[in-house]
Amino acid sequence: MAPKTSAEVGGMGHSVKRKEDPRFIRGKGTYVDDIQLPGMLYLDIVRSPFAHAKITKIDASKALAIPGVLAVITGQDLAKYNLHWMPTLMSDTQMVLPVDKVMYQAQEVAAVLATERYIAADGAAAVEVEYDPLPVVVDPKKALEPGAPVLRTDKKDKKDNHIWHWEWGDKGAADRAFRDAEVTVKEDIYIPRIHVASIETCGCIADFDRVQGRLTVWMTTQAPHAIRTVFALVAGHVGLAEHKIRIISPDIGGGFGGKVPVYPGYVIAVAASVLTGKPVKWMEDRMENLQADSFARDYHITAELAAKKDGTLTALRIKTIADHGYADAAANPSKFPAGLFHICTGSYDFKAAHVEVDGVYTNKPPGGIAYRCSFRVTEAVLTIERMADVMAHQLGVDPAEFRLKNFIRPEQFPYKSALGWEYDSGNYAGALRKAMDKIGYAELRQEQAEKRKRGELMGIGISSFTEIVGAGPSKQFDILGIKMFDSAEIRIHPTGKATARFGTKSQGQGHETTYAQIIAEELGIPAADVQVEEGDTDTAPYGLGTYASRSTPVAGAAGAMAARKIRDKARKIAAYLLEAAEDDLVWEPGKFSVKGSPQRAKTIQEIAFAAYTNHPQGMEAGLEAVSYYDPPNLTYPFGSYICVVDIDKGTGEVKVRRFVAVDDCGNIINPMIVEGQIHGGLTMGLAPALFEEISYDEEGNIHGGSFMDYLLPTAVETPNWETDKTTTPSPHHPLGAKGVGESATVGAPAAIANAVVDALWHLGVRHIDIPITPAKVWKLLREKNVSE
Amino acid sequence: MGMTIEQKFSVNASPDRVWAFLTDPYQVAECLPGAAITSKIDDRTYEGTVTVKVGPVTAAYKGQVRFERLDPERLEAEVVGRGQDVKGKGGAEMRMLSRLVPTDGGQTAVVIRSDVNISGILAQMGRGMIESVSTQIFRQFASAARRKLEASADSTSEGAPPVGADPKAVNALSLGAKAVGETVGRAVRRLLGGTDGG
Repeated sequence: MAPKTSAEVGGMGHSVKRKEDPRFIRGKGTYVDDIQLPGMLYLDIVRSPFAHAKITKIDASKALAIPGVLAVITGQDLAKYNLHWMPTLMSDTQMVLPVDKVMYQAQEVAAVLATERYIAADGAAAVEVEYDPLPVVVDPKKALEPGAPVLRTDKKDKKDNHIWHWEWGDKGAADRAFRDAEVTVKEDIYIPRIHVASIETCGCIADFDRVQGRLTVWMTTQAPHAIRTVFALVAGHVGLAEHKIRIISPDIGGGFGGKVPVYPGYVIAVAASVLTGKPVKWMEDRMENLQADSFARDYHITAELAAKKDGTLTALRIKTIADHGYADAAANPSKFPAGLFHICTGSYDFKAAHVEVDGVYTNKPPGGIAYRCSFRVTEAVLTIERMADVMAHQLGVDPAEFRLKNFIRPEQFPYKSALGWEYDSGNYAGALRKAMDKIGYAELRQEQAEKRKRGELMGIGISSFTEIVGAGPSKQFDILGIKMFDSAEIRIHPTGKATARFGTKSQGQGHETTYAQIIAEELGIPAADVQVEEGDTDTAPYGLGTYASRSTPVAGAAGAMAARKIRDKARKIAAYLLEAAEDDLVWEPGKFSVKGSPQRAKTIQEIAFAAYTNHPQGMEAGLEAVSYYDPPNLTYPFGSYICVVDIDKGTGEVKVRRFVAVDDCGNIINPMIVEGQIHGGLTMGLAPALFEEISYDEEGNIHGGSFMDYLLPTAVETPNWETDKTTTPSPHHPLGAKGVGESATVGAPAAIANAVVDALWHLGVRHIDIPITPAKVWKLLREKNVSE
Repeated sequence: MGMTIEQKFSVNASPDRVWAFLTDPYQVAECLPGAAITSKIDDRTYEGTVTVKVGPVTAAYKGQVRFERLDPERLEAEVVGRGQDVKGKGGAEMRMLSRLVPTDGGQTAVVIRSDVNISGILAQMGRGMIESVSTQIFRQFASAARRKLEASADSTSEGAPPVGADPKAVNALSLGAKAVGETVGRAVRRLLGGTDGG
């Protein structure tokens, strides 16, 4: 689609360079830790070495003896204000600081307030805590066994570790389909606990002004307004009302869902500032970030597919144990306890499906969060795409042919899935065929057959995923009852330049550029003349923040709608200036002209000036608008990825030789940014597929608590991504856009896992849990008597 | 966090001499960075301390070691140790099997297999770091032991002056730094596309 605007205007479809990059690449960004306030104090946190233990004594005397240490804050201190526990977004509770026992290794135990950051750290090391270790529950399946130690002893009448049971779909229909099925397959799939590991850790500066009774918090948060409301609800009883709270989310160094939750450190810093009347800074170090912040995934899945002998899929059944750690603190904005997991019918036309999920408590950090997907979508996609391959191989059908046979067809949209979602638009076969052509699928299969004869291990994996983003329609989504709309406020100044504020918050997505492009598209004001601001609750309109790929589908739509309101008023002013009827005016980006006499025209800049200097009588001055957009539906980006791997029989190493990604995110705002998002997303999909995992030993000691053991892919491990696109606009989004930030993270792991299993299927391998490490593959190869 | 550490070093001293050294906890502790024997419970059981500093984290273990098995015929010794951090930050358990193998030229090979289980603060540092630190500690022990044994190879006197490290004098920080250096070295090699030698 050719852009409607010129390159100078830079509306949709132009690869406008990112406005935020000049400050980032010159080191001039302002992150929370860059902010220094006069008289600022520092907070450091004492953390538990044990996964489950009674606290018998906290001795702060040695810490308090260090010059510069001002206070040691414990759960007992917070209990005086009833701030030692806080509610989670999932109606559970979690500790701010414990009063009697710790529930996971690295849990906050006490906090040290000092005049310098290093003194605070020394103080934390000097606090002596006596623990009485308790039996540790690490395995969620064992946690459900009768006689397992009950973890949440704080909850009266809680007699087990089960949090909730949730099921969805028509169980009867699914069971009947399985009874009548000609072919069924079943696999246990574990999707391990991982961590977003954003480059900036979490932290805040809390600054309570005692004179004005006003709290300002600079905070690493993806959702400043929601946080302000949460603070007002939680701390209302100690006098913090919402109009006296200002949350500022400055530049954010990556979020991926990890900066949605409220961590205890934030609350302690706020309490410390309110008590001292001084600004208090708290910043996590890397190990605290990896060990204590909310995790993602940790789903133990049993999945079954039913099909006819001719390869037609008929039904899907899934049972899942969800390990939530010691509290269900999921950053999940939906009304469903398992988020959007019931998108698990994927891109296929199932007639029947049923999903069950059980949430369980264990001695691990609370969570979870999304890890760059709109909550449990990667879990769903990995499961369905893995199972599609298992079924195809089981039937002896090529996995690509199998998918093409079972895809929802373009004419079926809008498509109502067996689990109740209404897919907006799609052309799944189009994307897969494009990917197959680009990678040379037939030739690769031929090469694989030849290599197999020679005993070489090569695999081809496909993932034809359907995403579900843009939370969300208020009937399905809320946070604490607040509907998941988002907002935009645009002010056109007399000289025709604009300031636009949004309820979202970029963490690297490039909103300052893409939102300006949306306004450029709608009003013809050059994107360079639009200043985009986000993240300050004192100035931005109320919004729910950035996660779940919701900024373009929701706030982007709000931007377009607000711009259209402005255009409507501009038309009135233009009609007045041109002495023509409104209906006789023709709009092209940037100006109104009179039908039939294009030389009689007023530019948007002239109209803006008139809005303040020469507007029609009876009309209010100014040219501005606000929109709160409640999306009528979610958007469903999709794509097909094909991955080719070679496996080293000696070391078990999986080498990604090629990876072709064809994405469809509807109409594109900025092709360069979309490509960047896909590159980043693919790398964050490669990571859990091959490297990342946080596991625990039986005593609850974390494995993967530092970058020594938690392996992030570097430039060395990252293959050359080959990207392409198809364009299927969303029918309900004002711009036809769908959102793209998470597609690649969601789609990539299954392609890689499928490629590895494809290379080993003839040896009898049906499934390998991610991350597919050399050690896992090496062990499998030895079990199958494959030697170098 | 459990792990098995296997190490081997060779000493220019007779097996009998090395045996006498390895079965004397006072002499062993002198050579082990950060370790000290504080008291003797009985012929086979001793109390002592081990301090390990890894980067910003210090763990000071206090506990017991006991010779579970001493087989002078086969030159095998099995030692079990157990300790708790004095500040309650975790614990460590170890079962160490040492075996002496006489080699050519009157030398002795010392083969050690330790099953170690650590919990708490050091376990939190992660396996990659702890294995590097363990290797570092062992190398320092081996070199101190070698110096001690080779310096007094012909002497059997119990009162030989300690040539090993005084526990307080051990630069535990540099130990941590060295381990960090090693692990970082591995990462750098990875970055440069070399194979992981560690």
